[in-house]
Amino acid sequence: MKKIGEYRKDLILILVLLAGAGLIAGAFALAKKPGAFVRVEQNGQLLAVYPLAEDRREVFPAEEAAEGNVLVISGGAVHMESASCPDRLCVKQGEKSRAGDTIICLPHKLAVTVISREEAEGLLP
Amino acid sequence: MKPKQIVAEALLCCLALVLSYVESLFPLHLAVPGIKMGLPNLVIVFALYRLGAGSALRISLVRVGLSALLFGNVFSLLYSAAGAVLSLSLMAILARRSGLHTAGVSVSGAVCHNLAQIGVAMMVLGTREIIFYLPVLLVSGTVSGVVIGVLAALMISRIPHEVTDPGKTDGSGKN
Repeated sequence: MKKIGEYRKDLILILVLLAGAGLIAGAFALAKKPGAFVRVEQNGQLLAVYPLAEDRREVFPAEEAAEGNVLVISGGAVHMESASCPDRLCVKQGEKSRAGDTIICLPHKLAVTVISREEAEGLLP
Repeated sequence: MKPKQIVAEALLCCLALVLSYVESLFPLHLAVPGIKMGLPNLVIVFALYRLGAGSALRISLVRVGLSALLFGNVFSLLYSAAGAVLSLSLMAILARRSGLHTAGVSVSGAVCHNLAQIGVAMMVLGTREIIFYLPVLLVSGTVSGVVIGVLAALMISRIPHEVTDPGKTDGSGKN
């Protein structure tokens, strides 16, 4: 068995490549295209598609709770204003505006996804 | 060229072609197209160390041409040829002077191969979006390069030297 030191250069090369991949992936994530629409799904079923450009406030009632989730679109970004679930993780996920960004409320099985104009075209009537 | 070397190159070429076929039988349908194990590269790395860069290049080009005819199309030929020539050139240089082991050389070759393919794909398809595959292909190239490099090191040290030409010490030689 050869000593690990002999492979030092190889290991450095591998680490550099993996770190490079991570950095590039991060840069791409930051440079994501701004989204155009918001898609709301519950239990995998499409509930609504809203344009990001129009400010609005929508309430999605959960079966077991009066309020459910309050979704707010304002200033080109979407966020969950309040939720009746105990963890309120969706509220903590903050504002989203780039295509591919999601806000997920697991207790209510609600998925809010920011999508591009092309993606929305297939969903709009 | 000695008859023995011709035979060795022809045999390795067949082996590479078989590995191309095996690889085409199990396409990896992952998130990103172009992710491959790079099995034929096993033979190419072996040839590079045991027969030299010239032999490895000949084996690689014949392999690429035949596998495109048998399992692919004109576009796959373009992608593979660009990847094969660039990655082999880089591997030949690194094998001689970088102090990298086969794993490092094979990783460099695999990543270079993927970069060349992305480049060709961007030119052929005329879309820049393909660049988003870059991080995934960097990681997949690194992983498959390590696997192939370690396997190649085993082959290089275990296959008897009588199989290839014992008088020839091209490539990095020492193994």
